[in-house]
Amino acid sequence: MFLALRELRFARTRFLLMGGVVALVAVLVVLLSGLSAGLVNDGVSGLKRTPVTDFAFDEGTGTDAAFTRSVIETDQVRTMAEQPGVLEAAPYGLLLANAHQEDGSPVDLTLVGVEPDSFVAPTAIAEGDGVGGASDGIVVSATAAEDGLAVGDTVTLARPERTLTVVGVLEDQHTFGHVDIAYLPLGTWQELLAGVEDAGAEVPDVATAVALRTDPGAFDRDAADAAAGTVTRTLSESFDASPGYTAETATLLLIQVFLYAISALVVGAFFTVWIIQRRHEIAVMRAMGARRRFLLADSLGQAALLLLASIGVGFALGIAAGAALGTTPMPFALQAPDLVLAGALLFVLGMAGAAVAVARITSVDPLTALGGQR
Amino acid sequence: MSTTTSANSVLELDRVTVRHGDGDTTVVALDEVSLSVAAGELVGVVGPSGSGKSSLLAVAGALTAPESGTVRLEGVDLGATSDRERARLRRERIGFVFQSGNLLPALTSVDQLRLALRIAGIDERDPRARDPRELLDSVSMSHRADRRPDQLSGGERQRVGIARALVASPALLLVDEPTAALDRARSHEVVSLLAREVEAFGAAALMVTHDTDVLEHCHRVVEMVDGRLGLPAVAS
Repeated sequence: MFLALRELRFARTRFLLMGGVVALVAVLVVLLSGLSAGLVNDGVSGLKRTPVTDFAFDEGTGTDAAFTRSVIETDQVRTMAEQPGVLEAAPYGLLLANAHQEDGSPVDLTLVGVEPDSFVAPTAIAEGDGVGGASDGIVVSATAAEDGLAVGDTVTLARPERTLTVVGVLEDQHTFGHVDIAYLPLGTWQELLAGVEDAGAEVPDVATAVALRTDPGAFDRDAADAAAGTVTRTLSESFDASPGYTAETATLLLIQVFLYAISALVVGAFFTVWIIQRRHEIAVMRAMGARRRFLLADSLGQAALLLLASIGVGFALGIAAGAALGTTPMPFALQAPDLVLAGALLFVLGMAGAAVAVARITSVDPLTALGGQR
Repeated sequence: MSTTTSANSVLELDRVTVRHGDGDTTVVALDEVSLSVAAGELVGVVGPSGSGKSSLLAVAGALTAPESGTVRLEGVDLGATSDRERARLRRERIGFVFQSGNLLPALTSVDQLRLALRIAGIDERDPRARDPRELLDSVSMSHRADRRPDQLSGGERQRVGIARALVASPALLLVDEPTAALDRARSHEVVSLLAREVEAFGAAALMVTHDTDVLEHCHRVVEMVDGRLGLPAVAS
């Protein structure tokens, strides 16, 4: 690295410009990574934060609309509960609703109906009570509380016109399709689904899906589906049933893939030009008897230093910008494992680009050091 | 095959032939050239462009292999060595002085010498390593030790180039047109310095030049014409 360090200092403007490009790519990678995680949270955090491993929807329900189209009868829940490998089964009702608060401001809620004593009833309560204390009581996501809903507040649904009272606030974000979840007792949920305005009316005993906790070794999905007349999807398969989830994640993934490719190509192109500029110097060193390994190690060390420094700066800026974004309504969540993976990918791909360029060193003919030049 | 290796000859070329190109366009660059250079001796090679002077340096410097004939460096037949071995000989036993110095733009004078030691794989405390600053002092460059090439004049660059070629105590110094970019006075300074260093360090030196003016500093002068070697017509 004797030569590499002195070159970095000597040609600092060139290296700073190059490092700036990599740093900006790194900032974008951090922001996109945070945005992806944020959107995933917004889309499916309500599903992720349940102990559910699988959802069984009614037979014949398509993937993209499973949570809004599927209707199951409670006897399907009972059949599922008896299947081998099913540790727990409970009805899970999901309904998107428009409502307004006492001051008239609109609020959208994903109403999730659960049996209060079942395994899907939320337990991580930050404030107030859990589901089931009051038939018209709702337990809302922490993000709804940030938006102004507090214990004791009421929300009025548009149709059927029913007023629900916030009885508890959950510890974490629970959202589905970018809409805050409000948990409520299944019986109330069934009345809302049926559209009746009087509490206690006779309504069909249904839910959206059977929430399952299964032992993957013992659970026979096909046999269980045949017995219960359902189609079972694992938790992550059912994410696709959250509105916009597939499109959002695929778009962001595509952008990130392009960023990685751009970063590798830019670094490769820079070092290609840099090596071509230094061709004569390299010929001189080869004529002096320099080992190929000496020259390769020096140039790759230089690339590694450049990448580490610029990725470091880019990540610092990206994380700082992310912290600022975290205070806005923008869905943004930085996760350490994602960042480590993104940083490692940027570094490895950048080094791959540099390695392709630096390999040219071995093709420099030391003979060209003799005779006239420049 | 000749085996008349004299006791103190460092470089020994015996009926060396080098051809460039292929097929119909073959050019004989060196035609049965025989030459030996002893330790402490500066041999000048003059001749017009294209007479084969550069090919002579390339073959003596283990950069190209001759088509026929033998090249011996300190008794080692270069024809019998591998690429890797020749690179090792270049870094440990041969010092190159290039046209206009050919210094690395990013390095100060003293770092040029340090890099040469690193390339040679010689630690600065190794007895074969000359102290870079002392060596710069002996070529009257100690006042420019921490300057980079763009802050040096042509003559100064060439002095640093000479010091760089000597820093790893080579047995053979190969010098390529050292005065190409210099005026008369600087040319004399540089070549007389070269002759002095060669005598002081006991290296064998082969210098290729256009410049008949500086031949007075050489111990011996040979002339190349069309790939053949002969004594020069000019008296020195």
